[in-house]
Amino acid sequence: MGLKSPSASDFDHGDLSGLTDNDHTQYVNAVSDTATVNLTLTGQSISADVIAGGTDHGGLGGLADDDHTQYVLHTEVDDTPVDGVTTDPISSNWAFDHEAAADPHTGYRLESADHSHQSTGLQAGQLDHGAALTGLTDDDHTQYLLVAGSRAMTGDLDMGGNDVFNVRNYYPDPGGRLTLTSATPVLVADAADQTTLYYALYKHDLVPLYDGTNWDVFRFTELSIAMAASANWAANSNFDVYVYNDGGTLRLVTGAAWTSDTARNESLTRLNGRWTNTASMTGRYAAASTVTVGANQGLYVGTIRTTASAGTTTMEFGGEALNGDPIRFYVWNAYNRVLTGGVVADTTDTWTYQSTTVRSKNNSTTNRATFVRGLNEDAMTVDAIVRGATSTAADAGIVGIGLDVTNSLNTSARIRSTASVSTIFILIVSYRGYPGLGLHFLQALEACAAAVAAVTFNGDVGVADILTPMAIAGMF
Amino acid sequence: MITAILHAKVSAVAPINGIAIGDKETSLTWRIDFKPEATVDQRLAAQAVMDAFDVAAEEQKLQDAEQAKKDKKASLLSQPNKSVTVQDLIDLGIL
Repeated sequence: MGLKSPSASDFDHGDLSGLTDNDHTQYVNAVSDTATVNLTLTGQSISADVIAGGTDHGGLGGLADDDHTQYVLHTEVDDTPVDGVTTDPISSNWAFDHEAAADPHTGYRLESADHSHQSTGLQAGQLDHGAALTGLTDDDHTQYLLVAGSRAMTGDLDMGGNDVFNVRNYYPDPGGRLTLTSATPVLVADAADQTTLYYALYKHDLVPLYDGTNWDVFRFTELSIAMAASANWAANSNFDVYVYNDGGTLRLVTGAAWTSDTARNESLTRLNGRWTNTASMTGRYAAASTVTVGANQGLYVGTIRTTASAGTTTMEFGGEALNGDPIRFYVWNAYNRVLTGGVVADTTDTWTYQSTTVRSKNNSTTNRATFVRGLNEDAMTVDAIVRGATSTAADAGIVGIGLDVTNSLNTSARIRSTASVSTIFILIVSYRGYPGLGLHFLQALEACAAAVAAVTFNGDVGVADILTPMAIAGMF
Repeated sequence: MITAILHAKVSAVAPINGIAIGDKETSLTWRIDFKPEATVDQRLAAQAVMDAFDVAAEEQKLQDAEQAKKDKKASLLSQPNKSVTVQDLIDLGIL
């Protein structure tokens, strides 16, 4: 390219070459020169290092101004140190003051709001206690009984009329009674010469039985033993009667016959206040059926006496008859005994006796009450009324009541008439006592004081309104 | 009283402890309680006495005797100035 002649009007600096050369040393080379002086620009000064391109931010003015709005102000950050830093609490563990007493999170339920956990509505969402909670085996609710039984009741327990059963080591009196008529626990009239023994419901239908370790209470329906004519219940013998749990079947069983009228063969033991068989024994519940009853596992409920016929027992309340209608109470209950009474009245018109030897009233052993007792723990009472007449002042009538005897007067039950000529006497003689264990009888007795002349005794004298009975009462 | 009379009659022929009249109308209910030493003959004799015992007749005798006593008593009471003899007392059953 040829050069134009220099003219100030058409010479453009930019058209020059070598523009990037450092030809003007009077100027500061912005790229490589180091400023040696300060420049003044519109009244402002620029430091030499700015000019040199190495700007120090700290050297800038207006540092306290909020020129950078994209940044969070330090003062707006929580001033509570959370990680031990006190000089500059701002860290990755920033903590912020949550707004108090406000509800900025409307997506959540407030604690103060309803927590009924209804199945519908805003509170919907029921919890399953067993699935949602832990610590279910903790004893957090001390107002409840523990099934382990380690918390004692502090008040009465009202069952609201409901039953309590399968209760262990709770042993109430058994609720039944031995009897000779089905569904008739208390006999008030003769049930003579019966061959079936029943254990009928009376007070209730529970019976406590021991299993060798614990007592359990069982509910029972009427139990019975059919004994008819079986030699296993020998005549004129005593048998103890038990209730036994035969593998879930409650049975009424008898033990072995007593060794005598008044001596047991198999002893009894009171366990927790209940009478049981002391040792293992054979329990008979049918003519040809027996079961082994472990020690203490038979609950003793009474004793029976067989009559002169095997497999037969009886309850007879006496009555009026020639020579006397005897009382025979051959069923005795260990529990729930009731006062049982009867009268023996001799309807013989009259009879005489002239001997000092004591004999049965009217020489009749049916002027008697015979009974069996399994335990000797309550008294018997007898009152006898005697009417008669003496024929001489040298003699008198004597009457009494004999326990198991016919030829001697009980020391506490005897009385003598006045000795007089042709005097009618009326005597009352009474017995109160404990006859003993097993079979016993109480017999009306009579004698003459001197046997000088016959003493006349009266039965009913052939008159409707005269009777001289012996009345007996006891717990059976 | 009847019983005492029968007792006296029977005991006169056999050693007995007593007798019994179950029902005076039925002699089958009557009984004799012999002493052990009573022999067979005595027992038979005693039973014969009992079998022959007529209750009605004996009761009539008792009634008659009682009536005689009453009559005697009435007689004595009607004679206030009459002396009472031993026989009178016997008749009245006092002696």
